[in-house]
Amino acid sequence: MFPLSLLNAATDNQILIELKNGFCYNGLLVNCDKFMNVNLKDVTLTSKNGQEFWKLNSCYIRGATIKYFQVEPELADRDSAISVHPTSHTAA
Amino acid sequence: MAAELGKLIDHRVMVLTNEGRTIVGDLAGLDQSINLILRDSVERVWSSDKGMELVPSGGLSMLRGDSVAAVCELNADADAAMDWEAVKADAIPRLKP
Repeated sequence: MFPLSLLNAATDNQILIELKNGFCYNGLLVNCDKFMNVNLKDVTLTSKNGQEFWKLNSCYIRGATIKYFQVEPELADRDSAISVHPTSHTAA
Repeated sequence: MAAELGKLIDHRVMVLTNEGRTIVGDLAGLDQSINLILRDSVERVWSSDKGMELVPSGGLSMLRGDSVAAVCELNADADAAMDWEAVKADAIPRLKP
């Protein structure tokens, strides 16, 4: 399973993304690209200290700012996650 | 180089992140940038005054490669034989750039 294939398989699903600055975005994955840039909708944003919250209709996150993301475990079994090979590219 | 790590797929690994976190999980996949997919991962939180605590991270997660400092193969038998909850240790500091 390739990480970017897993991300692509996660479109239209809930995803939790923590950025390098500690902020946590929880929403529906609308789109993503080979640089791991993502577009989310119906997002709940939580600050690093867990004290502040925002609701965002949509947001765009630059891939390089991501620390990690979490998806539903069932996505690992999807064919689209397992069998897609990444195209070669240089990091943005 | 990622081919070497490919040998660890479906093995239990410990990942050291740039922030000094130790995360143990099953390596489900990786790529050339060392972005890692971990299944059933658990973070091991160390402190000098109380024993190790476990913080589960969710069933399926992906760790971005630029946050990864090291990926280590975990010896399941040796790991199971240790009483980790009794171990006190200083937290690993954040990696300096």
